[in-house]
Amino acid sequence: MPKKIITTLLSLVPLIGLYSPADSFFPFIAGKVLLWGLVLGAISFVIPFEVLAKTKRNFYTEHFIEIIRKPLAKSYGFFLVTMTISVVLAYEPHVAWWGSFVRWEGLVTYFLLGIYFLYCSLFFTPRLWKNITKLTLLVVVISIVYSFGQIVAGTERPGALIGNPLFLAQYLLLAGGLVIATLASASSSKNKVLMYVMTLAVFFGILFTQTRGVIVGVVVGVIVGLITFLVQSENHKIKIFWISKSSKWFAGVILAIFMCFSGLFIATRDSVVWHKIPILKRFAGSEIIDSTSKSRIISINTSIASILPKNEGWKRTLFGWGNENYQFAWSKYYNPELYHYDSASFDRAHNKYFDVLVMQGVVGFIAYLVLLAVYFVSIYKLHGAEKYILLIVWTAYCVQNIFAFESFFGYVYLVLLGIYLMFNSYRNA
Amino acid sequence: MNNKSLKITGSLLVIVTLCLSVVFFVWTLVPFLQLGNFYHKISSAFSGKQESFKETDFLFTPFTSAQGLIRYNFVNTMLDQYRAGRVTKVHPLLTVSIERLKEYVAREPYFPNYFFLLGRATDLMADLNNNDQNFLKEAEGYYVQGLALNPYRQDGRYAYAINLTNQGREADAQKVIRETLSENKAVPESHYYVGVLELKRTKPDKVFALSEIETALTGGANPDPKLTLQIYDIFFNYFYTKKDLERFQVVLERKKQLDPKQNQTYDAILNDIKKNGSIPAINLLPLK
Repeated sequence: MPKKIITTLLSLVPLIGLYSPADSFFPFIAGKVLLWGLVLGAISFVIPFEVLAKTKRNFYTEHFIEIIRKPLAKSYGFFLVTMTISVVLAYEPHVAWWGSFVRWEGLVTYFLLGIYFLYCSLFFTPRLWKNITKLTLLVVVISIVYSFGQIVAGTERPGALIGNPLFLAQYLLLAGGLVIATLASASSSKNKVLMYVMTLAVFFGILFTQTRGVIVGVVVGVIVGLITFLVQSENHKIKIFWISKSSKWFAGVILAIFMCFSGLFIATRDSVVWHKIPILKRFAGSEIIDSTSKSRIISINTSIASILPKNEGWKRTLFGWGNENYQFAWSKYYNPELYHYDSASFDRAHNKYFDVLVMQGVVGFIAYLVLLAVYFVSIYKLHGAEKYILLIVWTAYCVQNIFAFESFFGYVYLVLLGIYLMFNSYRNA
Repeated sequence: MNNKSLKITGSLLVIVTLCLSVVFFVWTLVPFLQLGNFYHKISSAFSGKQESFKETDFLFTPFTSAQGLIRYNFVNTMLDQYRAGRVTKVHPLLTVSIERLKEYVAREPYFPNYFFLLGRATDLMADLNNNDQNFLKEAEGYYVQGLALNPYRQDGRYAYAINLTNQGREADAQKVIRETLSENKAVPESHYYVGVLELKRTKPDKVFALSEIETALTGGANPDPKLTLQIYDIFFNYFYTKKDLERFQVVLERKKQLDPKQNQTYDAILNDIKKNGSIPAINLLPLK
């Protein structure tokens, strides 16, 4: 019974994506954190009843030790240790420990995400994953339909119930990608059809948001995925609709179309035609560096200045300013030129890598890169279509990080991706 | 692993998970309830229910991740009430909100925006108390603290310069605003405040003030429309009295944008000027 409660609660987590209380500040992030915290709190309360059972005690203890020895768990542990040092040495310790109500990215969040990773791994079963995938698929579909409705109602860049176009695009990339990979790894033809439908839906869902960083990420991801497929994959004969050719032939054709279209677009980006196409108009025009981009470039210089040893000493260079402390570094090294392009105060660099560098220093940045690399290697070790799908997703994710920062719900799906990769390494073993 | 170590590990796991249960609840639920409570109370605060607002200490303790946001929004909401003209005298909630934000910055003296907001709120207190110099001095202290954390931030500098002018320290105010402008001349708002402060001087150069404010508005500055309209009323009367045809037309064109309801009147004056080559006889505007 306790196990059933735990697995039911864990499988319900994807539904949190639909929750955003209207009468609250920052409902799109805070509402989700609240529900997630309550679900995980309830699970934590029930866990002893399951783990203490005499017949299961040995199993869970050994399973726990097995999990924490996995490369993903180790790299996350290393990342957490470096983050803890940054937080202990933080410029503003309270917000570094607890996070702000706006972002919820204090040390506590990362620690609890680690606990969530542990719970999911400890109670992982194929059935639990199936339920998580089904509910994720449901929420992804609802989000896409909702965003389409928002566009019809006149919203230029929809955010659905995730609340923000950027966060929605990131969510669709990670959650949608995970669903597509799971469907691709299944053998039934029904799942394959669903996979194609979902691929199209997620692709258009991301385009609807008009989030340039994620779209560029997907383009780069597709190119990397297809090139890897052409170089590495075995050549099978497959049939798509009425065309029966080798899999590499299809990959080559798609890559060629992709490259031709990208080349044509770049060469003719000043053409008025592109300005009339809703999604592409954000990329069109020779004035690629608009005021938003200029403000981001200025902020990158501010970020670098804030961790230079000559400005702040080696402590900040090595361990940074502490979680959620970017805003203080930004204030101290604020460049007055920025006001011309953006008068808002920045609490993030709008570049995940610079965020980590400023908030956790060089040591934390290395730990972060190690974590990303472990994810990459785990994906690379997969077989079949899921490998290439997740390769596209992961490349897109790493590329969009150059232009954006993340939201809490994105982290939840990074954890689930980690679980998926661990489960598949079990399966492959 | 032997039985003893298994038992120890298992027991530790139990203790940890129970603690985690508490952490998950406390970390999310408490700040969320505080903020939800604040949201409802601030929404109903100006419909005759403000008494309950003051007594609800749960809003301000314990010191969770929501505290900065609650206290910042509390003051900001109060300032909005004044800006919108819904409140005109010292409201008890304004005093409470300032005190609560002061408590916060005393504990967390890291947020420049919080100091700037405290400065603006204390400036308002000065304004509501017949330009009370004690409040103005106190506000100056907040601006100085905010600027120590965010030295080049323009909005903090503008508010600081206005505070200095209200204290009668024209030279200091001019130094702050000219420095701000020289750091980046492309920022239109800096030109706007150079113009505003010029007007606040004992002997203002209104030609220079108009030129700076026009540079700002043409450059895309988007300042408080109410204040800008009041400023253009001053220009209207001044350049009319001076019979400065060129600048009077500039003022009329701008007033057409700022006050579109009066477009017909301004157009009539402009047409008259075009026809006769001189400013027609008109009534001066009442100045606020």
